Amino acid sequence: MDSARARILARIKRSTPKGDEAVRIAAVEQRLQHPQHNLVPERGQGDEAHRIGVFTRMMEAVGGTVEVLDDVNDVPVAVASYLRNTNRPICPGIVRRRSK
Amino acid sequence: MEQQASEFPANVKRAIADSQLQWAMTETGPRFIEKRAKARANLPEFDALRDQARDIKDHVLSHLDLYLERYEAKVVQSGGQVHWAETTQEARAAIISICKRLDAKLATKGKSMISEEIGLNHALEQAGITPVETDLGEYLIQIRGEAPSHIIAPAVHLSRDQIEADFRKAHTHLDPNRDLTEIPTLVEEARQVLRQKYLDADVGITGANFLIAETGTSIIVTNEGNGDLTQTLPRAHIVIASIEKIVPTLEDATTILRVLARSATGQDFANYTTFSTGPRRPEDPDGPNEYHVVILDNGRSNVLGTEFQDMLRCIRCGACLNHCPVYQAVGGHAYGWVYPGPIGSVVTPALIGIEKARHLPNASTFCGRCEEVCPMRIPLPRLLRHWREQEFEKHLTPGAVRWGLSVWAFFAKRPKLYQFGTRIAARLLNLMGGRKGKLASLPLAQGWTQYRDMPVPQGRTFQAMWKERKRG
Repeated sequence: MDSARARILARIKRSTPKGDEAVRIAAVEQRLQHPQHNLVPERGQGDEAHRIGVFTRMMEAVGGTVEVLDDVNDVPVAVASYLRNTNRPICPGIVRRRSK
Repeated sequence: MEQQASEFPANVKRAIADSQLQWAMTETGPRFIEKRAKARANLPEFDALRDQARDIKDHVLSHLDLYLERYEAKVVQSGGQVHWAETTQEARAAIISICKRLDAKLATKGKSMISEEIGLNHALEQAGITPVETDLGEYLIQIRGEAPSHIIAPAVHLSRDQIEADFRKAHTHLDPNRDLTEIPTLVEEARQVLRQKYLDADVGITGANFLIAETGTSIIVTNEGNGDLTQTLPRAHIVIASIEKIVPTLEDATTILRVLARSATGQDFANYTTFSTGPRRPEDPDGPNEYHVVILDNGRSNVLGTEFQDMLRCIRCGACLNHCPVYQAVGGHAYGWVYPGPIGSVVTPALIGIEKARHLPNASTFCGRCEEVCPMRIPLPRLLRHWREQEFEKHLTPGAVRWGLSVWAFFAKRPKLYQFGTRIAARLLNLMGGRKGKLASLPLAQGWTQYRDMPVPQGRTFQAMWKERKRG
């Protein structure tokens, strides 16, 4: 397999554009050491409020709902409230596991 | 798998006469096109991203040896192993050797076109290892003993009824009276059957959409989550990927991912995009004990630096298939090997030789839709034309076609004679068409008139009109 490696790499090297090898190495090093920022679509940029807005719009487009909470500790109450308001039972599996 | 690319004309006849296949193609084809168009419309930067994606791959192909070396070093650094395979035989041997060392009896598999290319399932079976495909489409064609008919939707040619019949035949341990009339019940049954396989598997084998040189990471993109279970639960994860799957950085992979799912299924992103870097570390809650990457060449390095190099930018999204009138008419099996559609007609001759695949580059109307939709901007019609040139140069083209081309070339190189001839031919055809304006039969064009009437030329020739407009 080592010889396969050598042969594959040698064939690739032969096929690459002829030029200064140091320049090729430098181009690769530059790209890996200092990854460039590629294009990020406009909708993924902007401040946090903008991005939350985009997320909410896209979540709602696929039938989801979004509720913004101020505190992470409010999550259980919000989830329970959502389930109650949409007439969905709390998963029995979760209840059983908690009661162990 | 056995390649039958040379059987293309016979395969096409069978495909066109197959009413079930024709129904399936009509049913699914337009949906792919519609979804991609919607996804593209929702992202104003889509074409700019395609440009960047093309540039990334072009950069990689110019520095491929260096990126492969860096990738290998990073995999080793993270505790994995890289195995190099020049040929399909070497790739199979590398995988089977790992399986045998681990005394593996069962291997789960995520979807991988390279695995199809190297005929891995058959080789595993021969070695006493049972392969189980876990992508639903791949699982279906595995139990039917078929090849995939589409790059991303391998079972696109099947109807629900066929799948129900296959499941009843394959899953004999389940209640014969169970209800399988709805798609969700079929999916649920596949899930049930496969769930135990994930747990029992000794080895998990996946492909890779990308190999990242910066980190030594392999990425798989799926919609079912089967790839994650395949690669995290067994003792060893084996990745099989070809040399051109390399991208420099995570940032570059992300850019190409933005165009991949949109072009393939019309999704913004696939449901699961999974990154694997090395085996399980002591602090990891789960993961494989061993991580292997088999890097396959199989003729690709010979394509570098040639007029066909652009085909190595392909990310296997299948958009060219979805938009190809020929693929949509004949389906994937007609192409006779792993890669169907326009990209298959370019890749297959490169991998198995134009001698065995000479029909495929001719399976195109050159309408250009494949190039129009390709997220990596691969000039597919140009590449197909190059193969046709090679076919002609190597005297693979049948005598009658060569004779026809030489007659045409004789006139084409003499513009005045050509214009005179086309004027006469147009008038003659017009007379033959009579009042109907159509020809039911035409010498040398029976291939056309067998299925439809040939409309007669209307008015004057293009050349005459062109001359007149230039004057005016």
